[in-house]
Amino acid sequence: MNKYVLGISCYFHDSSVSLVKNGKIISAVQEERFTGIKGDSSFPSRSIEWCLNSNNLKISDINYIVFYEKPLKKFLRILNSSIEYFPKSRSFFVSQMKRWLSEKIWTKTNIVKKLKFSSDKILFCQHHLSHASSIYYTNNLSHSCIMVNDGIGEDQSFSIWSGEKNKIKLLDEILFPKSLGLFYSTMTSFLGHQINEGENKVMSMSAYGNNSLDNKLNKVISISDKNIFHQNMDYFEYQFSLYNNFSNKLTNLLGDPRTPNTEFLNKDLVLLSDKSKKYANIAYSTQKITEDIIERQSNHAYEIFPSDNMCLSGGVHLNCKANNESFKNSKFKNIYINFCPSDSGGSIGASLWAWNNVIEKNENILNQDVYLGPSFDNDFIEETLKDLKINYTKFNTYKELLSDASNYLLKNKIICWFQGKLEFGKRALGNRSILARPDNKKLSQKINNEIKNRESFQPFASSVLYEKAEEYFDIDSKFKNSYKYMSVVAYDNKKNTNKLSGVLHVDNSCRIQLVEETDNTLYYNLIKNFFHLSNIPLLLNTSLNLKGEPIVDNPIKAISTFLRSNCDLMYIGNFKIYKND
Amino acid sequence: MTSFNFKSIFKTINKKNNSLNNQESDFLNNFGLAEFGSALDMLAAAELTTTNKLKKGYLNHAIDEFRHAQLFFKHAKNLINNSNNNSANVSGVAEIGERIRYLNFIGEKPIYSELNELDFINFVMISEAAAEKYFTKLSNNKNFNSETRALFSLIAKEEGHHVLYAKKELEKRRKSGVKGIYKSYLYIKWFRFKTDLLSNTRKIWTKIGDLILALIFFIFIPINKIFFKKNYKFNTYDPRSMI
Repeated sequence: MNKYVLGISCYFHDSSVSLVKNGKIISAVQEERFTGIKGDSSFPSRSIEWCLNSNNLKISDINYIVFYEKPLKKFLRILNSSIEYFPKSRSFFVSQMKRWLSEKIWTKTNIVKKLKFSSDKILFCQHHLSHASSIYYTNNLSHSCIMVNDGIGEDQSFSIWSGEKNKIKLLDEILFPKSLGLFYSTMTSFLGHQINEGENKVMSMSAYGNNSLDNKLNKVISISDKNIFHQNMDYFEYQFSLYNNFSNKLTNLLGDPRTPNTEFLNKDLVLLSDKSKKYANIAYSTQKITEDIIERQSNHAYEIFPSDNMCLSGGVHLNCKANNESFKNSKFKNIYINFCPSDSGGSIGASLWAWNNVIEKNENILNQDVYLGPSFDNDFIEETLKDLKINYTKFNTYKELLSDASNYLLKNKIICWFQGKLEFGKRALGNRSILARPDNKKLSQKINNEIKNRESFQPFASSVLYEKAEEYFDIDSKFKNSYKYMSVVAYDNKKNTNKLSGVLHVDNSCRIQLVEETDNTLYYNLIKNFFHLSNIPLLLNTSLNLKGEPIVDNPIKAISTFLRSNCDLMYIGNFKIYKND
Repeated sequence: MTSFNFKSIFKTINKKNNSLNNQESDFLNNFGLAEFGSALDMLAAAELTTTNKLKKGYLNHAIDEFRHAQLFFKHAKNLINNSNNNSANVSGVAEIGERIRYLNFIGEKPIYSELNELDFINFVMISEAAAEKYFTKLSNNKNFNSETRALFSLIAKEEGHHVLYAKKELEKRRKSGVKGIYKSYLYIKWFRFKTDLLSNTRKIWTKIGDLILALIFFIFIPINKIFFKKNYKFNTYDPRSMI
């Protein structure tokens, strides 16, 4: 008889649901994809409904529901902070209590009521254990060190775990308020970007800066022999404030924070002013100290649990530049970072933890499929196109579709690509993407300025044929399991720089996705077709969404996005639609 | 389409007396978020409707609302770039999501699925008419600069078009003999009134709650600070426990 576990993560940011059947993840999706609200933190009702309906299940078929963290433990940490920072913590206490007493503290009751599910079948995993499980159990490793680094879980901000014979054990931890993740988020806010959204922009800004502010940043946070790193909490307010992350002391040290939405680069992509230079230098030092601390953490992890393998999870490891810089000289031989290091992956980790620890004690299964969301057949898509009175061209075979799409890419067209199942996680990995040729800087600027309305300093990722990657980038075999999820940057190896002008960042790095035929046949063949026409085995790949919106889930959202964008064409299932239609 | 809570933003913004300040960009951003939420409602309607003819109408309406949102965001950004504002008032992405939900009363299900088709068309008509009225009023408010007033005027005009589309659809139904159109209109009026009332009541309760919590904070937290030490370490691990 089949056994099912439903994992839920919500009430913080990036709500999601995953469904495990006999140890294998069969469906997983983030709530934002259905509601259209980026980073949606609400109870994932729509995702649960989809997971059950798409697998013809009723809630009574589910053996266990697992929540990704221990809410009451988190609540106690918040109470403790309020006590410790009294009386400065007044508004923090009031806002937090309102949130907790109205919803979060009733997590178990909410699940029981909303889903009509038996309370004795509801389990609670720990936040960092969910992260650790999301990477360890998806890779089916017998022996691995695991490192989790994020803003804050219940009270842990960093933890080291051992993964041995399907069991995960805690070895070391750093507790709140000390937190590398919250330090980075604070600096993100200081540099005028949204927390939990703009961290990658700080990473991008850092490439324009230099080390002139390293000494100042070292007063805020620095490497320490005793406790990995030292953080001076006088520069922060996140420990007792919901809205102000940094204190006046940080402003006195670094000057005025950057006003959100102000220009950083001029039209020639050069730093606009002295202020821009200052912010670039702050971003540089923030990134550099983060990389140094992670390297120190990694060395410490190796000292206490030597292994060939290192699994990384937690939001900090979305920083693909730090992943490369901090581990390139590491003693670990294989670095694993998968498609869901952030909190959305908590549902996946929690459900796999329950499978491996509560239901089946020794039956881990390789779970590397990232395409776990909704898909739509050609009949449904054609019906939608007809209802919307959109003219389209239908291809009878995928060969025709691929040939047509790659020809248009060759002609410098920007295409929307909507195929197969929706990806799970932050990255578009070839099923919901905006694609263009990678050697045209004007095209990438057009995508930044006219389509995605991103800041001009943000670079693009590229999808590269696995077997051709070494001809273009310095590929480190250590990361071979991570490149396919766009988790690590690689640097231009100077052999074919002219073919990478649209995807190389100012520091010659690029966030790459290595694509193998077995991972995504259609997408692989699209790149291959383009390669045969252009002699370039890669494509510029950015997610199919516009600014402030999540990646699209269904044809209507995809069409809405296409019609509002300045993309030239859209390939959706076996159909092509044009702008002038 | 305006959401219920939109009204409160209008009320606040009408009180302002400086034409160029940080508040103005905050207001514009709030309008943008409200329009964005409305776009999501219309997009959900386009996905869910079984009346094929309305699908395209809902989609076009959603595209208009997304465009309105972008116009507000862009104008707010211009205001910031043209001023010497040095504040880094940055919300987290989850807070923006909460704000969109709050401004639009987006629940666990889209509003379309809470109403029937006829009710939803009435809902659109009534909401758009309210938006047209408010934006027209704002476009005549001399406290705003000419660009901001022109933007309000443009949005008001387009909301007016949406009212006409919805009226036209209702008229078509009336002519084809559909009954209960006026009843549905009254129901939506009541529905909006009820939700508005709930929203205002919620504001009062929130203020009372804040006071009680502040009281708890000043009485119990110091006692805890003096007499208790941080002692929430748990050595046993129970997967069924929330702690």
